Amino acid sequence: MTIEIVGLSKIYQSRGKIIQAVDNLSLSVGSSTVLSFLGPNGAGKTTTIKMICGLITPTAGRICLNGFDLARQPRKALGQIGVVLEGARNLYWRLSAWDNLLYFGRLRGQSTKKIKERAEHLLRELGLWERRHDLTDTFSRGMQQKIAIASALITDPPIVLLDEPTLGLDVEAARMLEAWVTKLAHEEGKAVLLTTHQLDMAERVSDRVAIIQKGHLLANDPVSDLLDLSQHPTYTVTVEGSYTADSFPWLKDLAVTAEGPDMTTISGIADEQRLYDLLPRLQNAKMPLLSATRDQPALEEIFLQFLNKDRNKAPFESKPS
Amino acid sequence: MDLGISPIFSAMVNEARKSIRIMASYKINFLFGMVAIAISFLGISYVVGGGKPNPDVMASMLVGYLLWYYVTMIVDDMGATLIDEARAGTLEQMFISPNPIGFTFVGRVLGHLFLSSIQLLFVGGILIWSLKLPFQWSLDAIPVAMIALFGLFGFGFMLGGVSLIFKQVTSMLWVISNGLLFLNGSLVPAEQFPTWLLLIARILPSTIGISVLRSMLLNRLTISDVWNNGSLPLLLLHSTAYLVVGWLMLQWCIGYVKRHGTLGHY
Repeated sequence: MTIEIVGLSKIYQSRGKIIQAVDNLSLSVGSSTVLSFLGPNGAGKTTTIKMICGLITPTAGRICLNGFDLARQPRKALGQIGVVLEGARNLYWRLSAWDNLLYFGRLRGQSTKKIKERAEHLLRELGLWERRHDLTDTFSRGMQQKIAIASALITDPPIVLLDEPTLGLDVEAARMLEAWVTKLAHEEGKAVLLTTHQLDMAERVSDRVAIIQKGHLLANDPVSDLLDLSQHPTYTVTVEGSYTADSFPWLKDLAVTAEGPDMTTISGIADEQRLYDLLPRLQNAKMPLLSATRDQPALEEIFLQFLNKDRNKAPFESKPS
Repeated sequence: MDLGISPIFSAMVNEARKSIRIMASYKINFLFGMVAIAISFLGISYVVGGGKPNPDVMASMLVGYLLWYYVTMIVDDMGATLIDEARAGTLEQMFISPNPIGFTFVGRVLGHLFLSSIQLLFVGGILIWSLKLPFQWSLDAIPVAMIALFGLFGFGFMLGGVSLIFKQVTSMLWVISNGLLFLNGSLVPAEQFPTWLLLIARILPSTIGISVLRSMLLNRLTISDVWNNGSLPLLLLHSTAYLVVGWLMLQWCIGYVKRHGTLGHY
């Protein structure tokens, strides 16, 4: 595994209070994988990321980065990662994009020749080659974030940690970054660990999702497995012909949409029993059935289910990973 | 065994390059900064000289003033700039580097020292030449100046550590850098202070360095003379103590902010 975390804990002591920020967290991320680390504010996501990159000393536990133990071989372990932290610029605004990449590459011990080759490759890929000598404070927020991520990738590390990478970006810039993150993992074989509050984005880019609350890991599963865990699946039926709910009182609590003269969609069927009640009525009304499908739940719904279960102290049922 | 020379040298070159680029983007500020150094010196000389600046007194003051300026640059670099970098997230990137952060800090101070030296030598040279100040140039003064500067490094490391932990230190740094102008013998030789103040002044960074450099550059003493009269061994001991204590303090403060997770909190 490229990132391997075993029994990681962090306890802060402040003014007599003990705060368990991360509690016995074990997690692994393999190469060619995007793992989204989700949780509400204060759940321990950023603390975990900062422990992985050596900015916070864990109270207990072990972190291995590409086979190097962070506590015992910090230089080699840190050489395996590129990091963009939340909220920070991570760049010198009074340096050009080119000079920023050169500075951070040299800071990480890379030779100037290699840095220049890599910087050119990254800037061309990001469409910023023509503006490489412009000061980064003249760039848009999206362009600055691209340069920040490029500087994290300047040494071509096998592990990339991104804390809220799309925060404050417009839709177009965010989508571009999403595509880039996916490419880093699936085409370049990197292990990407990212945190985000944008669950739709996490659903689009992630191979796995880990959910954390109050420092506890609640789930760590492939996205498809998590979506299957939905406790309240809804169903949608399509029938041939054009209908409205007004003609059939038993359809009034459902969303009935005529998709044209040949097809009507009936959605919002709350559970399996309601579906079974509905099907004979459709048959009696001579509505030819085209399909009956279980709706794919959004990751957001699953995420909230996990948080609520944890708050109510009920055991949750994540599949063993 | 890796003694860290290569990473320190690389960090020094990297930091110097970065600073030159940033300086270039603020060229007007930089140029007026040098003019301000010269004007401040002339103004202080005028006030201290009671309106009639004397070249001998001005030469004595210039040694102290330039060394004090190094102090303010180190205070600024390890205080205000470090805090700005923490806010910007670039400090955290330094900590994430595979190079030990201590080496990066040493390289950073050396890089900035190099640039500050060019700036101060330029301004100092123009002042000495234009005011015809009676300096006795001696190559012996270079190693002595280096020893004095190493002590200032240690002081810088202390301030860096304090800034990492306490964050809101801008006012404190202002008091330190301006207080030192009056207490380290920059304006008036510390030997003229009352005994109790002289004792305090001698503990402060740069006081002994200024005194030894003055005796070499103005009173024609050689390096053997200052060694034999005990002032150079005292400077060596003083600078070593500052360097060792400053380094240990910085390491402890880095450990503290990592344990408390407060490196990026501002």
